[in-house]
Amino acid sequence: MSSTHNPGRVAGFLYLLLVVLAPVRLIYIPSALYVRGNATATANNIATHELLFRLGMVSDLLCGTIVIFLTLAFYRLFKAVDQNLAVLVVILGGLLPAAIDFLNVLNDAAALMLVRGADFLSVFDKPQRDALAMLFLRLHHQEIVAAEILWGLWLFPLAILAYRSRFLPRFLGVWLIINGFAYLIMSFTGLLLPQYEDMVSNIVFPALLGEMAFMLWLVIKGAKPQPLDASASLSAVG
Amino acid sequence: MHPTDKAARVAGAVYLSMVVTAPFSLIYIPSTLIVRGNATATANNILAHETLFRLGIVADLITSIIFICVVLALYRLLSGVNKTLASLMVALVLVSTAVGFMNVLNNIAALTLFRGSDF
Repeated sequence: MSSTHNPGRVAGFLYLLLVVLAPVRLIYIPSALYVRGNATATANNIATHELLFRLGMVSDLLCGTIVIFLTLAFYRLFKAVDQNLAVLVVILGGLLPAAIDFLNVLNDAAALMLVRGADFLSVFDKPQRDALAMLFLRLHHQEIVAAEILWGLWLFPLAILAYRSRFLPRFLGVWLIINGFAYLIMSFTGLLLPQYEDMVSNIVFPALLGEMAFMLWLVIKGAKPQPLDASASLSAVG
Repeated sequence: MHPTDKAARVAGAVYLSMVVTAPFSLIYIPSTLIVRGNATATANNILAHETLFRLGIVADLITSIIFICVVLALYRLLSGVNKTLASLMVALVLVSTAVGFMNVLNNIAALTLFRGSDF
């Protein structure tokens, strides 16, 4: 069965690409380069590993592009189930997160410029530039916290579509709903009670595997909307 | 109820909920916390009422989300009149909500600077 004839598998592979690329900037770069509370050490790390940091920016931009195609693939897969919900998936999961990703790269670019300290920045001392760079890195993270609202919300229409579709197992839809709530909880904790942010994200982490399970199911099993006449004859037999 | 009637009421109800959240961050927060021309007093106000300020940020984001729902409801109501204009309406709102999502960063940056964390 070729993937071109299986819209579910196309979405699955795009999802896989996203799951591989997104953690580069989201998890790997911060853990490799950031030194919590130490602007100078962080700035020095970024200056030494500039290429790695730039790769992080590129991965953000690629993710912003992939989500558009991913949600369009979901639109194709699910539009027969409920077109309104499928449009919501594209808007909440594709267009808005993409716009945010593309603008958020600017925070990284600003941090990098400050770290490199181009000549026109020489009016700032090194410690001042390092502190400003840290501020922009912090803002990059805060924008992700805000965007987690969308990362959570788009899963609701997606989950309902998967649940109703009859060509995907229903437990995946349920897990996606839980996954959506997990993102919303993470986002609101980060915005309102930042002191509990790390604790909450550790607790809800298992819920975030719902997207992973959904993605793996699509890659391995694929999904094919049943033609209307086939499902009608099936229900006639059943 | 006639379907058009129902679509109109849904759009109206969602629109109404935005009328609650938007003025909170657009009018209430600035009027209580921001002292015109006085950076120190504003900073002190925001630090003293940090949770209120953070609620304003959340209200901004929720307003953006509701705005998307409003425009989709209006699209369903009005796309029969002229599909191109209705699509234009949706596109303009989507751009504005993306701006809304990025704009909270200004508030967060101000808050980070006022708190003056370790770095």
